[in-house]
Amino acid sequence: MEIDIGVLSKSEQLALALRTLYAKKGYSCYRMSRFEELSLYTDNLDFLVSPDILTFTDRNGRLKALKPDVTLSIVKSRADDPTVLDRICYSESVFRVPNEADSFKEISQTGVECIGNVTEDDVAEVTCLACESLDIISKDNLLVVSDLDILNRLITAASENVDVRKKLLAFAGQKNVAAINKLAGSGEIPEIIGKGLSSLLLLSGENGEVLEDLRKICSGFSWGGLAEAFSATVNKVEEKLGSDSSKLRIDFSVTGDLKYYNGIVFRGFVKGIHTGVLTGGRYDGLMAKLGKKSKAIGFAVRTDILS
Amino acid sequence: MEDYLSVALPKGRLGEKVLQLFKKAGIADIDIEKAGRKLCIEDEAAKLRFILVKPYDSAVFVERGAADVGVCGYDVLAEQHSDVYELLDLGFGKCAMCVAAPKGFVDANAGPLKVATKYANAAEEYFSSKGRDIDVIKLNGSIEPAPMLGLSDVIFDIVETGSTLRENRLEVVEKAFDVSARFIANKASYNFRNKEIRTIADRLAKAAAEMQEQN
Repeated sequence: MEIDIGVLSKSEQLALALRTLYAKKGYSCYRMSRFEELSLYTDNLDFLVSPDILTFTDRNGRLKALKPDVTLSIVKSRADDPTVLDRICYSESVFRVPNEADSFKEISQTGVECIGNVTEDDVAEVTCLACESLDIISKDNLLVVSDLDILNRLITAASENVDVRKKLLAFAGQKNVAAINKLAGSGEIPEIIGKGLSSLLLLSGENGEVLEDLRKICSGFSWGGLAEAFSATVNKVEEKLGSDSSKLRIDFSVTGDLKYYNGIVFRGFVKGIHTGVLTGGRYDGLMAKLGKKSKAIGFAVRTDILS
Repeated sequence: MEDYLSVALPKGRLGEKVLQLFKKAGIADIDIEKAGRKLCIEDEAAKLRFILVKPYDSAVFVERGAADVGVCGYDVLAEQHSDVYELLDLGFGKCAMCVAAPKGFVDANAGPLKVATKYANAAEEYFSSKGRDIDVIKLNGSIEPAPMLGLSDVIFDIVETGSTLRENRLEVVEKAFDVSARFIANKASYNFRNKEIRTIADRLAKAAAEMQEQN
């Protein structure tokens, strides 16, 4: 069967190009049902981009949802074998309320998930694959990476109060240094932690530009070695990317829910598109919450954004 | 066109103050009087394009990438939950989001509290955090007469000096949060035009601090 690519829409062409790339890299395609048991999402609400879920009662009386997320379905369905690496790719629609909208939208995503024995090399490889995916959309792109282990340590040290931690995570995502300083000034969080968080959020640049400052910020803490570990991961990605490594930026305002995500997380941008087109990162926390021993990393590209 | 960095500015007093700040910081020098009815004003030397928008729309322009950076009140961010970077608290345009009611009003907790406001989301969140059920009456202006006319029990609105409240026989019952002008940036623009935006933010921060010291 011959396919005339010209009959496909831009977003369909992109999804096809991405799936071709992922298949070449050894990822097997996975197709899932549009519906899931609602409880899968209500039990892991913080993992979702938005808490809004489209639900319906099936004919057998079971409460179902139109998928607001793909990762949870994939994780649930795969065998938990931490000795092997399962590489999966998908093109799926999800139904949710995006940040910039106030009603439900059908969002097309193409992405990959690596589940099982995830090594540091695999983390670097998936991060590079994210860069290659952005290249397919446009050569004028950036992958912004962050490390949630470092952010998590600072936020956890800031307060035992869950609401304060939530606030701090939100401020981190907004680069809202003024609000963090205000909390430190009022004594709600220790001054040294406030200073560390503010300095971390002001970092923005290539690995070589920010590494020294990152070391300094982390050096006073018992977990200061995390800066070196993160830098080693980024170095590994840079080596693999070669001349394209200038498209990699470090910025700790890329966040995710700290119960589910850990280690490297990233967001991809393409010039001319006002919002991130790619999101991903490690989510060992989700695996643990679902009672699985495997580690995991993945990302999704919003293909509908091109239409 | 591409070289210009676009700045969404709220029309009116706040926008004028922001332009003064840009001038003081040595970033741009725009004479708003000369602009007449133009809603797009360029400073060719600074390669900045100022887009004059309604205060409530400034964050939308930035979030959607129609402007790279902008200024808006925190009240707008609290209401819209815009996915933008909040880079600076400029320290002016200060007021507070308050619950106000007719003098002597006591919430008997007999049913949902009727709240007249422009800020429906912020009101829902504030009262929900206190465990109080409310019935939001969404208005787009002239909130103050609502309790007097029996439209609502209280209002949820920004209060600057309190004179409008007093004239309408209302008083502040409680303060929800402080409001001031914020310098915001689109997340994609921040990454692609990082050095320019950070330079502007640094210079604005310095000028804003000097302005606060002088006041």
